[in-house]
Amino acid sequence: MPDWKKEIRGRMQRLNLAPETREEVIAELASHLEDAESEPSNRQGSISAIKWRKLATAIERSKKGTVMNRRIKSLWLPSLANLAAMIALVILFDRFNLQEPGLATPGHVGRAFRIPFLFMLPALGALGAFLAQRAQASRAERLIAGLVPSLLWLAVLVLVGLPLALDPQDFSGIPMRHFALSTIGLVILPALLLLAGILPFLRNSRPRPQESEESYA
Amino acid sequence: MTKRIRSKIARGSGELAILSLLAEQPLYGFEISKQIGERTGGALQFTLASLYPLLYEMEKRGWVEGHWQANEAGRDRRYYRLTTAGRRQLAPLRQEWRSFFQALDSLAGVSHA
Repeated sequence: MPDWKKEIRGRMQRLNLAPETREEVIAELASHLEDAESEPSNRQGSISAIKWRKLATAIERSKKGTVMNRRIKSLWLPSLANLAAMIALVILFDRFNLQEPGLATPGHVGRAFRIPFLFMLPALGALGAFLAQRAQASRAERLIAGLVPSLLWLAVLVLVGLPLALDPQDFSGIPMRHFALSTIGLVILPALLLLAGILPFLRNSRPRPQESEESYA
Repeated sequence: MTKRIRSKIARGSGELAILSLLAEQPLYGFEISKQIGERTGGALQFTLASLYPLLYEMEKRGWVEGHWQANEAGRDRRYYRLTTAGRRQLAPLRQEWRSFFQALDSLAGVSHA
């Protein structure tokens, strides 16, 4: 008897679902083909007659809500939690005069390099990656959820800092040198520190198809 | 008849067929397609490609619920059972189809009996 799971897995590589859902679908389709083969009178056409690409798209569409829920749990919620933690931290630093971070401006270069704030970043990275890992997120999702504070600063720099740095007429603007320092202090350095917290959560991958498969066998 | 209308009819009839079968007892995918084929004399047939997207859609709507269980041969199969929402859906669907066939009958002499 052919290994139907292997056969289907090979033909439905484009099936974009959470690994456990994907394996469950493959196991179910494999069991169907297995039954069809054992009853020749009920054979529903050859496996090569099935339009696998079309089937994968139809199944993805049928389970769309599930995909959305998964993305929300594995990426958006951990990212938002991480972002909320960073905002709370900035507010606390401000409240207790602990030097909250900000864009480097002439005379205030140190604002982009707040040591107490930088020290907290590995914990924030770990928080985002941990929450994503708990929701069975992929490595990329865990990485993004952990790096969100840095990504937010990058967005602020691009949207606010860059126009100010590029406008030579604007005397209240930020010189390019300070823009570069802000990028280092608020994006690059934090990204490295966040990464230090994220790394332990990148090692363990999601349940591998093999593991899920065994529970159905 | 456009492809879209045909597909809607096929989908609607498929939903009714599956809900009616599952109202009798929980079944797994292959059994569902087999019983539909046998009980309609082959007029309605579900292939793997047409059955599972529909089953998953119905599961997403909360009409049916799937769970893994060993069949008589001791092999794990994903059995579907009707949920309360699915059971509630069955009567209006039956009524819809009855009205549809009555309308066709009065128009074109197509009886559903």
